[in-house]
Amino acid sequence: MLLRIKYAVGDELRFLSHLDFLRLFIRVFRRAELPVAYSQGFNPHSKISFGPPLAVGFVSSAEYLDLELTEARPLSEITESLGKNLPKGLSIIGMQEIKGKVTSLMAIIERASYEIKTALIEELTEQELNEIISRFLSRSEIFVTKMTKEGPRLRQIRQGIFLLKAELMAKELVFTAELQQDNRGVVRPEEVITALIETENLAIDGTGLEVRRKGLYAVRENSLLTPLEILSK
Amino acid sequence: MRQIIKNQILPQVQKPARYLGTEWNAVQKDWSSIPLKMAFAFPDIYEIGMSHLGLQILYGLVNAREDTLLERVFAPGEDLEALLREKKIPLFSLESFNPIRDFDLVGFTLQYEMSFTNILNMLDLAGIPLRTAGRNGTDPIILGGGPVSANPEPIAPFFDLILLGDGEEALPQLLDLAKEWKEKHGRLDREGFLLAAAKIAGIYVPKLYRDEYSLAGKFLATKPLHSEAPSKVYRRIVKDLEAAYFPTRPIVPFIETVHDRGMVEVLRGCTRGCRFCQAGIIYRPVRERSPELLARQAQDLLLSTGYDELSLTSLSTADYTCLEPLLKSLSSHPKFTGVNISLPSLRADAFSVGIAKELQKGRKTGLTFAPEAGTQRLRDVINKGVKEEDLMSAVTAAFEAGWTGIKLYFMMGLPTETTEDIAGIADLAHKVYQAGLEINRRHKRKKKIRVSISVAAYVPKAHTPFQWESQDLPEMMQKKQQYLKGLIKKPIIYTYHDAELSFLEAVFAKGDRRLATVLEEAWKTGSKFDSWREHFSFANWLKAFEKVGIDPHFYANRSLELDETLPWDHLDMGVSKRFLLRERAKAFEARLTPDCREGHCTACELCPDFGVDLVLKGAKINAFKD
Repeated sequence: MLLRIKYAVGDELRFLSHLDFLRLFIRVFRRAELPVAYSQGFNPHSKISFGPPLAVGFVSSAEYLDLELTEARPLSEITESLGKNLPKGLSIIGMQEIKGKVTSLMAIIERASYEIKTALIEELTEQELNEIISRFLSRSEIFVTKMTKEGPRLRQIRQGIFLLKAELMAKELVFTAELQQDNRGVVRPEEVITALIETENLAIDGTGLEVRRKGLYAVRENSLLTPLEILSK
Repeated sequence: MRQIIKNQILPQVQKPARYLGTEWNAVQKDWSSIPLKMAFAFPDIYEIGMSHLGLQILYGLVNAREDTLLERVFAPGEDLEALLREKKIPLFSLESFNPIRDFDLVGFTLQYEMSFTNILNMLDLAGIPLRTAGRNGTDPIILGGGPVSANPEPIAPFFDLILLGDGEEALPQLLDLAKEWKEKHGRLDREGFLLAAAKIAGIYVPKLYRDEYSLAGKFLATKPLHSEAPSKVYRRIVKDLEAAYFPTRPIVPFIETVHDRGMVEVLRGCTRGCRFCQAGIIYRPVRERSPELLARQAQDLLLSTGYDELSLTSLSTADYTCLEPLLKSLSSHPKFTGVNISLPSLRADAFSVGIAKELQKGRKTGLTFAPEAGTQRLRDVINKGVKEEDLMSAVTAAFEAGWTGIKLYFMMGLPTETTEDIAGIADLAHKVYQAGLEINRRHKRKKKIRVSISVAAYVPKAHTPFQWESQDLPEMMQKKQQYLKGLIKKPIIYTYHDAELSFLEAVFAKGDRRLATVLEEAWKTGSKFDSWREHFSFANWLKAFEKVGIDPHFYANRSLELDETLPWDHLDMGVSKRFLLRERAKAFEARLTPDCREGHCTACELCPDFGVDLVLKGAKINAFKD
């Protein structure tokens, strides 16, 4: 039986690495006594495959993993037994059986959406803010510097930004961004905010960003489909 | 406090997942409704502390009671420490983020001497006066326990109480007393409570004793200052491990720790009688658990944690009399499919390799053996009953079975050691390597043979037959290390311990209370995490010794008189001094003493004096079978 599970990562677990999550889920499934399938071979490993890793420090309301079981179980039973074995900060929010052939999460996912909160350093009106963002998005090229072993390297990310908007909430600034997340490249939310600060002189605190991943999507005929929705297509 | 730490402090540190406190099976109790609160302090980083079985035992034990709670605290990483100091945030517990100084009791585990500066650092970060003399009724009671309690004198001035021996029975008694005292007096008033605690067997209250020295500076005696303080404190021994508490719901860390697996303790103690080994004295007698109980504990543990690896721990698991039935029952049980079972250490014989072969699934990378010394003569001196034939048959069996890597542990600087013994280490390593090549040739295998040797600098320890011996001077130890280096041929990998660090370990392992001042001085001038190479500064320690006017060589490099009173003589581990002296004499004649499990009591005098006995669940241990 093949399963696709959607889960959320809360504040308590935002400091875990991708490897920590892998270890964590293996143990959760063992505690829940799910008959997880193992690969054949010299070093058998459990058949769990994740979507794109969540950056350390981020929370998320839309993470996905695929899981293979050696025997079928009712979804309600799986949900119940998993529910009793999750640490604080981890919750299962959706589950669907995968029927027939399936393309891996890493192969289908093309976009990620984020909510990014940060503090304002100087007063700013909603209108000024919108002007700044339109100016930023009207550029045909946006460069970010990436530190590599060979030194800083410039990368152009404009075409990887599909949506960027912002709202003012008291002293807080809340961005929504939809960014490239596929096997040709990944645009990270903190890169976008840094570029925005640098190119438009926006007076916000770029260091203490609170980032939530809100969705992961495949793109089909110009519309976004979640990894669960795509199963019923 | 929780919010400030989680939102402002943790995002700035490198490994914030160390400090979350919400791991699976961690216990979060309602702080205000629990009458007695204790913190368990591990004076090293999280990844090391969480690998420690003792922590899990006491954590489960104290939290299983309704009237007590136990929360954890580890030595914070350097980055976190800097932030705590800068923002004046006191050291906090992982579960509730309450300041450590708000607990009634703080228990430090004393695992190795070189963690002493971390203890001082943690007390300081917690805002607790370092010395018992400086504490008052608002400070927690500072408790210590663990193997270093065999000679806690160098840190005695910092501790209110030290528990000698097994904690499963003594700690609950202490908690009962503390709770009663708190109910009666509103708090743990130090003087009265400590005096009452001193009446619990196994509880040592250092401040009820005075250390005396001759004018020449020689240690004379530790004398009780109070009529109610016993002249000797006896180690606590849990008679029957079968009935003792064991945690089957241990905390499962989120991040990878040194030993990231489930553990059951198959037995406690070891009576093989290696003369350098302190653990072989201070955990006597051997007490086994039954295979039925262990299988049940293992099952519960795996289900409650989700671990897919189980370690059967003890000082020497291959000696367990019921190892085969236990392994059989584990491997035949459906709940154990996909579970890797491991033994922490192997005896150097073919039987152990046979067991390892049955257990090992997947890749066979490396096996480790500990011949400890390079020649038969020296192995006889230390009573390590391993013969060269045993080792060779063990490694041959290992190579035959497909292992390609062998690691060998040795010690350098053992009493009576000559250059021949050191050369013997190289010889043995080369023989093992040749055996591997030979088997490779015979089976036409192409896999590379890897033999590595790790050589520790011997540290004489209190309560062992070699407690009177002097350690080699660091310069001599280094010369020996280089001599051996010249004898080792490629591709054998040779690593050795830092001679200067081992020297300090020897100073504190056999130290007295005067060393507390050195510790304070070294800590004040920046020493901490001394067992971490990148932190250790020998120069800083030497400066500290010089400043307080204490000669470290007096402790590490002096042969003690056999009739000298020793700073740890008032702490009775159960084995008589007569036995230690007899063993010492036999050592110098290179005569062996058999394991008492073979049927002949070796008269260490522990069992009759403490009303305990060997507890063996099977007929005979495998090594002694004909």
